[in-house]
Amino acid sequence: MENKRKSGNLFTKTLAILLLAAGSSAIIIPFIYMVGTSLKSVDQIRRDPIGLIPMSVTKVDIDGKEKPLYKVSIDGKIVEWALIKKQPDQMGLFAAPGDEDDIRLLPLNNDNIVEYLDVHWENYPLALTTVPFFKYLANTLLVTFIGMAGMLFSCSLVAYGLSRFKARGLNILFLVLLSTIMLPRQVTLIPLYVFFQRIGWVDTLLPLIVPQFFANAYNVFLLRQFFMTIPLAMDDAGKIDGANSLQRLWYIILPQSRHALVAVSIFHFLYAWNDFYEPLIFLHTRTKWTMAVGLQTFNAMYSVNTHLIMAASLMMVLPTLILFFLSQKVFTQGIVMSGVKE
Amino acid sequence: MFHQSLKVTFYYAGLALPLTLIIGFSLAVLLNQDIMGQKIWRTIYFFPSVIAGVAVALVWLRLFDPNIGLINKILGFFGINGPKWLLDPDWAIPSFVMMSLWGVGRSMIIYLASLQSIPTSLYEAAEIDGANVIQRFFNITIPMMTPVIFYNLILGLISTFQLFTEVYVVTGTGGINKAGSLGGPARSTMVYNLYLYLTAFRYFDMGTASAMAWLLFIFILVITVILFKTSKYWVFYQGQLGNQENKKNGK
Repeated sequence: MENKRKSGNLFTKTLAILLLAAGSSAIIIPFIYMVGTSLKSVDQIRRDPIGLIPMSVTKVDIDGKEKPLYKVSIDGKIVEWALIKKQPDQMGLFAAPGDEDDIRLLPLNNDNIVEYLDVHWENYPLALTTVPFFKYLANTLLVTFIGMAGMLFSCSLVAYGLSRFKARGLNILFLVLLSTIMLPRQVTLIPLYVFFQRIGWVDTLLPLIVPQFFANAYNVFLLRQFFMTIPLAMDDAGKIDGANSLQRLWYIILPQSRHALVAVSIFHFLYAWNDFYEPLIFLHTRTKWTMAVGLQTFNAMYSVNTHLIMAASLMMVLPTLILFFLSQKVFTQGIVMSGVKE
Repeated sequence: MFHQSLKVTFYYAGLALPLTLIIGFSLAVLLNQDIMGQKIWRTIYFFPSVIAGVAVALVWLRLFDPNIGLINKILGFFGINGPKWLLDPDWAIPSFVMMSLWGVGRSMIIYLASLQSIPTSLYEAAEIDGANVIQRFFNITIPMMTPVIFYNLILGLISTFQLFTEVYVVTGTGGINKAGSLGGPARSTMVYNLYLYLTAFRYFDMGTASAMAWLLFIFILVITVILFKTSKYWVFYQGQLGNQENKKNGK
């Protein structure tokens, strides 16, 4: 009985792992494609657009000209000969390297071409110089990090107010704040656009940065929930020691909320780094774009150069991937913390 | 065009929302089991959800290419003649759904957090009472998960109705149709949000666009209110436990 149950367990576990493996290959293949393609040569992208590994055709010198090598079978033996000229009906004229007079007409099969691993690192500097990448990077960094500073400043102040002070209508204010989460971005975007246009901020980075200094509901909500779990007794201790309300926020609440602040910062980073909609609408001049908009336009102009597009895309996602690996714990902790914290 | 955009959006949401909910949930349940390489699987599945938008769309755009794309090549390997995906009006929206499922890890991680907070004592008690695995799943796991299912449902609703970036990148200039046909082919991907964008920032008809934005808001609001109203029949909140804890800490 016990044995039977165990083997059944083993069966379902194997099945589960097979399922997971199948699913995860669907998850990973796009990444491998991205990395592989970004290191391919232009030739290979034309010849073999799907191959995941950067390879080049091996060529040999025949009468002073570079000719591709093929695996062909001669007298039952597989040898590597160079293709001199293609002939009709899937045939080709082949010559033995080193013995150029021995020319034979043999069947031509493109799958038998001889290749070697050929990694084109230079695609990266090339992609960097084809687009004003560093300009876009600088803009994105400005938007992300100044915005993050503003967000942390304003959201912790607002969350502090909502969690520590009693005032009439505070709950209603909180509800109003929460209701802004439900508004689709587009509802506020059009009046915002008109507003920023009137004050002359359209086509500057300001509409992407300044609103962060006025708090946003998602992060205020998260921080408030966290602040609520910090015992009020600690505030009282601070009060007795003569700390004013801002000092209590700075010396008591914030140091205890490091996890929540890190979580909120990461969420903001991912949002600001990847955002496409707002930069697309507010930024018109090429040099003011962020990476997301720059990348889309790069693709629109050079979509044939898949290797460069993939190199640029990879450079854009690299910081988020690094952040992901550095902060894996915070990701899950940041989300579960309200339940875990005692 | 307005009706078309509604139709497309409902079609997309109708496919993407249930699939994301079910697959995210199943993955979380699977990855909550004690299986080999549990942490690695979790990392892999959560991985894509940190990168979003343009870069993802650019990769999938190439994977979906009917002639030189990897997906049809793999299907061809199994002897399947793949469809034209993003170039076929019938397949374009399902392609976007597949693209969105790639990022299913985001909801998975939230389900997982909730699964881990279910007290094991509940399962032990049920086991003593003679409940089998399936009974435990339907009588403990699912009820305890309903608040998070509800949360993912509402957030999923809001985000599926706001699909924009992927469609803009894939159907715009440099996309699947090199010359660009936003919302194409044959307007089969003209989602509500894209139409709203075109109205506001291409045709500069801010009035109509604002009205469209408000309609979207009212629609989402009504659905959310209805879901909230029905939630008391199916969402199980573990008493007022959370509030009590707050009060205790507050003293």
